[in-house]
Amino acid sequence: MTAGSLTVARSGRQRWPWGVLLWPLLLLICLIPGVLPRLLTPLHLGELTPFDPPLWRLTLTHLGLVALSTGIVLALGVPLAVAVTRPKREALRQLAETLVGLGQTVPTFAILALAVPALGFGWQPTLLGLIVYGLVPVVSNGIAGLMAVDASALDAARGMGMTGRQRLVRVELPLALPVLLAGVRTSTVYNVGTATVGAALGAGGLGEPIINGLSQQNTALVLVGAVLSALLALSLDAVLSLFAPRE
Amino acid sequence: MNISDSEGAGGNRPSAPLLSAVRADVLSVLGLAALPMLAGAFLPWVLLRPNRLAPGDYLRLPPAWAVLMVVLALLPLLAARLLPRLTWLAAGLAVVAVFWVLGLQTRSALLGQAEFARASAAAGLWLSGLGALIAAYGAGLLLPGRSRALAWAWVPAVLGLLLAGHLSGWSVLVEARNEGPRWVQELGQHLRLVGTALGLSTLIGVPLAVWAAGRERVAGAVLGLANAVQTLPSLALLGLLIAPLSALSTAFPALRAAGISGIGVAPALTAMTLYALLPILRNGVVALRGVPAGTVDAARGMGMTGRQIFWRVQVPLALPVWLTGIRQAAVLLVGVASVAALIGAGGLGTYIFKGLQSAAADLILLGAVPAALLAIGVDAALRGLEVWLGRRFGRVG
Repeated sequence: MTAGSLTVARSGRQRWPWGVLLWPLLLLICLIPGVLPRLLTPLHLGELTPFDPPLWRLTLTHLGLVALSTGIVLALGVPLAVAVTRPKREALRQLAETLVGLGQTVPTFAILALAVPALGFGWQPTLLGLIVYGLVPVVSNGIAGLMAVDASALDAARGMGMTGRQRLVRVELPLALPVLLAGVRTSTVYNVGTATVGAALGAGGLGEPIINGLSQQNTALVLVGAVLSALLALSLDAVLSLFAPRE
Repeated sequence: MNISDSEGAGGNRPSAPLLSAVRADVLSVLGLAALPMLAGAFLPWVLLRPNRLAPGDYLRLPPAWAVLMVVLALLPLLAARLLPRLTWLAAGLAVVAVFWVLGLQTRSALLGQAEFARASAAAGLWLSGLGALIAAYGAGLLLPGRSRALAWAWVPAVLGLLLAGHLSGWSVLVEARNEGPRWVQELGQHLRLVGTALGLSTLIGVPLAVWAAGRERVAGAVLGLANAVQTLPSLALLGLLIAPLSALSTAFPALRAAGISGIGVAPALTAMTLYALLPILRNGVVALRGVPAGTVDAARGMGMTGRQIFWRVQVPLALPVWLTGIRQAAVLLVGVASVAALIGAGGLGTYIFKGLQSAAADLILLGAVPAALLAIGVDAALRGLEVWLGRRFGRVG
């Protein structure tokens, strides 16, 4: 039975990743002005006036928020994971793991909303929420990856006369990289979803048509936002799967 | 460069030596906790506004209280050096003191103010509270085994303060009092949404997982689909479901009479059930396939029938991992349910959206904090159940 589950995983990894082409292509087609309205009009779900700001700009805003937060998350999360996995820092590591677990448990929307009283409306509270929420998979996978590095590999490195820094850069980080990258992928894809909710805080992005459509009872508008943000999430997931295949 | 040093970076250590190794760096955790508390003592604690929307004045702590907070910030560190066994008391005291001072300061700020005046907590309180909680966590690491519960001694004390009405001047509780029964109703709606979706997805997901686990191709497809839907933004999934449901309700008036329409509870429940189905399915398939083939063979060798093998061997062995999936689903659902307020399904998210619309921070807190606590509570309760079942049946995968 164990062998069977292994085959499933392996055949999944070897298959040609058709999503890498399909999802971004669909997204681009939907972004051509006029395509989505023409597709949705026959369904009689609501009026679609020309979009202002245009859809491609909303998509770029969305993508920009996600990219910026992922960059900040990497800059904060990787050093944090490295710092708490050094020897004799068990308590700090446990604290980090507990905080990360809490971050995973607390609803995203609550984190976003709680940032509003401190930062006001706009993209700032959303960015903060994206960073907090994005740190969770990166830090937890970073810790898991670094802790899983075989002690004998470290001993061998020490035997070769490597300094602590060399061991980290040449042995630990390369060995932990696949797990860490899987965390980055999860973090980025989840943040596409979080940024959608961020439209409720005035962050712009592809959540904006959804929120506007809901308040105007315009289902067509809701569908525009939903389809585009879903395609964006699928595209990013497919592209990142090239660097970080799921175990 | 000794051997024990090399073990520190990798591998799992047994828990007994962990405790002594931890002691030295618990001090760094406590030091980390003292920083926000020290900063908090000198930042404003209370924001006093003439009404809940108007801008207001930030009030600092009177010098005597600020000194007390500084002492309380350093006390856990001191205790850990001198009396490690009593660190929990020092840290617990700090947590309780934060709430105690909040109650005193908000009430004294409101003295002589009009009825609509609001005293909310400001940065100083939040930082001090954060620091005190981290200190309490660090103190827990110093306690061995079962006595670790002492690190939570502050919980009943804070609950006592809350129930005794000591915090009644705090704007969030004023808002809660005003909302009263309506808030309880929304909390109930939140729980109902989560409970119904979790029940539905368990009912659908469990048999489906059993069916899929025995079939190689189906199992692969299920896992692939589960991962794909999980990538979709929850708001997008909610939005995508509105169109077909509103089309259905226009086409069949009977459905509309039954309350099924594009907006409201029906699309929310459909989306939530779909969302929760995935972790349950995925973990079910993984857990059932993870039951060692040798164990199943041994059961067969003992003359068990297929049905007996399933109920007495596979299910008990798969249960803990499966329950992990159900726990993940439940936690996820608490979060999705708070977004579902956007499509008119009610729940605690209603307060978050109301607060966002009217820029009333207290309303946001009234929705977001209970939602967060609810998620943490659900997680802890189901985790406890998992540990208990894991101890009873053993664990796979």
